Amino acid sequence: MRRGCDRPLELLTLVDYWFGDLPSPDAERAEEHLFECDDCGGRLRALVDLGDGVRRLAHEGAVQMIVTPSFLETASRAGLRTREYVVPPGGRVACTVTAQDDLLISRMRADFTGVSNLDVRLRVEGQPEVWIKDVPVSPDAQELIMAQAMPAARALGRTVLHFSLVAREGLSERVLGDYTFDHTPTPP
Amino acid sequence: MARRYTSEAKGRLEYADRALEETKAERDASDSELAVRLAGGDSAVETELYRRLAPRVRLYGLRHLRDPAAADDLVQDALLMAFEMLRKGKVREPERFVSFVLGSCRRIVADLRRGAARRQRLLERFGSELAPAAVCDEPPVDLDRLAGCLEHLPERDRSVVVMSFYAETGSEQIGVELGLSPGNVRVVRHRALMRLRACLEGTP
Repeated sequence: MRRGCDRPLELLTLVDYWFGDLPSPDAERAEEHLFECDDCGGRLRALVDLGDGVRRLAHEGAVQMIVTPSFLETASRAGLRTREYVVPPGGRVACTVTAQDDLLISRMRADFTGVSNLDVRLRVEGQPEVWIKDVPVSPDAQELIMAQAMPAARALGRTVLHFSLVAREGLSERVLGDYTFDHTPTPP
Repeated sequence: MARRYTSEAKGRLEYADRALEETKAERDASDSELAVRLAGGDSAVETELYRRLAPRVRLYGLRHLRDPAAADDLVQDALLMAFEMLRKGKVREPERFVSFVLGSCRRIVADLRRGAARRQRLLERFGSELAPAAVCDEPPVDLDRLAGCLEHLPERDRSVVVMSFYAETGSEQIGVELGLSPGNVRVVRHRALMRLRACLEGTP
């Protein structure tokens, strides 16, 4: 008789198995279990479905996110058209987004040496200040790469956006750089 | 005439009942029981055994090949060969048929990897690039809702999840690029997926 799963794999095990982060013997054991157990297989499939959705949204630039060179390489290999603006600390750039662009990327250059906690401040005239807290960045990186949410970027009228990268060290703050994006919409 | 009709109808009903009972019996049987019956010549159980194994093989294929079409091919290749061997009595322990199928999948994927490695070397030599993992046209999740859930994740969690699924980057590489330890990436990724799942299911 078929029975339900009496030793279900933990979600952490399923996730690590999927991303190749289990040591080999553990991965083989998980695999053998998945080959016998449809309950756990179903849970893993749900995770895979979720991942397909995340991949789709990332591919469409649906949400704003901090990305890395690996992400941009993947997007390039997938044939996405990327519009990029590289801005040094204190720099200002005129920018736009067109109907042909798949991704809009801001590359804010800075020295992140010794930075363990980073926040991003966004100021737009006439709107409340926005803080993006605890932004991930490597101390070895030379820029923070931000993919803008395409639906919001396409809907944006003429706007000046002031970004600041702020390192937090205990109670003190240190501004690594201010960056101004002078956005003008491109007519369709 | 009426009696004959009744008799025929009754016969059909009994036949249908028997078929339903057999189907239920097959569904209740273990994988091993079905494999042993198929090895013994009971071809009626083949459909049920295939129905069970195909999704497992496909999931294995997706995990190792990262491509839905390749995973579908693996299902065909592995199961056609394994069922053929089972029917011909060439599987030494039919009661361990599921392990036999897993072993077949591992061999096929290893062969594909050797071929892919050769292909990768050629591509590197001639300057082309491998295509990234396929983007599913219609993933079986509510994308609008998922986008909202992603936006509500902390920035760090969102980056780790996106890097994991989109760039198909392992925890070590993500750690290097985002300034996190591999262990921290695994914790953040796990936590983020739990949050996403809860958000999609509408639970706090």
